Amino acid sequence: MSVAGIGGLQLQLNLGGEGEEADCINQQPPWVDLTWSIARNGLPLSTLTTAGVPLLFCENTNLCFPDSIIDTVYTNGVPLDIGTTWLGPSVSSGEIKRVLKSGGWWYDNGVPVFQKP
Amino acid sequence: MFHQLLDNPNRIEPGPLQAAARKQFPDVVRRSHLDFFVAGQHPRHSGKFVLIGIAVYSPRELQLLDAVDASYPDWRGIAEVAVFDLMECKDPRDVLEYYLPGPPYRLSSLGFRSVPQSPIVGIWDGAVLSALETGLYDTQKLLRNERLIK
Repeated sequence: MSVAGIGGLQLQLNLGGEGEEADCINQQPPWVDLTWSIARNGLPLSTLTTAGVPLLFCENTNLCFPDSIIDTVYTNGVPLDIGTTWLGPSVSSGEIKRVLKSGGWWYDNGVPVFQKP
Repeated sequence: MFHQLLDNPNRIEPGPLQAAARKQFPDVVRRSHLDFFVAGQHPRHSGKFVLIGIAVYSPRELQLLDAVDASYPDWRGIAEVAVFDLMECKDPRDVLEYYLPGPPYRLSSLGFRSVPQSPIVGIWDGAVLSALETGLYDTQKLLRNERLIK
């Protein structure tokens, strides 16, 4: 799978991603492990890594990317700016805006909700 | 009905949208055929009782409640279905302590020591927890087997 930022390709990040968006780095928070099941098919997350789909574990509130590097951020059914869930901190919109490039878009559940100036 | 809580025609940022959805969730439950389950409440002691805990920020989990509500003619008189917002819980132990009360050995025998994923579905038969699943795929499967969704 091509993931980008490499060779001039688009760098796309799917927060809480389970491989449902094409050509993305799928981020999961640290409390998730590879035995968790994928919502759409019930298979363990490990099937993504064995299929070559990039999976990255890092804090929702401290994404391990430099500023202004991501072209597109996707969030699908993840908690955003609503404090701490029963598992840990929700995803931070501030972090999304920090890592987005100028002109980059954030799509939430398929809806374009923010473009970085 | 439930899924409309997260409709976003004005493209507002998800944080305020999700906060508003959580606030409206109990009212939408009251307008449905489902009951609202309050923390610390006990499952009823007779018949089949189904408890569904969902993450209100998830459109697919709200759609799951719509599917259960739409199947009401199939489970009316057979089961009682109650729901709660998992965001009311502050850690995984809260889920077990306030929403799945019962002897720990029962949860262990069903393969659970905590609740890692949402949604969660518990089914009691005559006050005995008989089935428990988490995660969208497995809970849909359980609800389908129990004829609570088509």
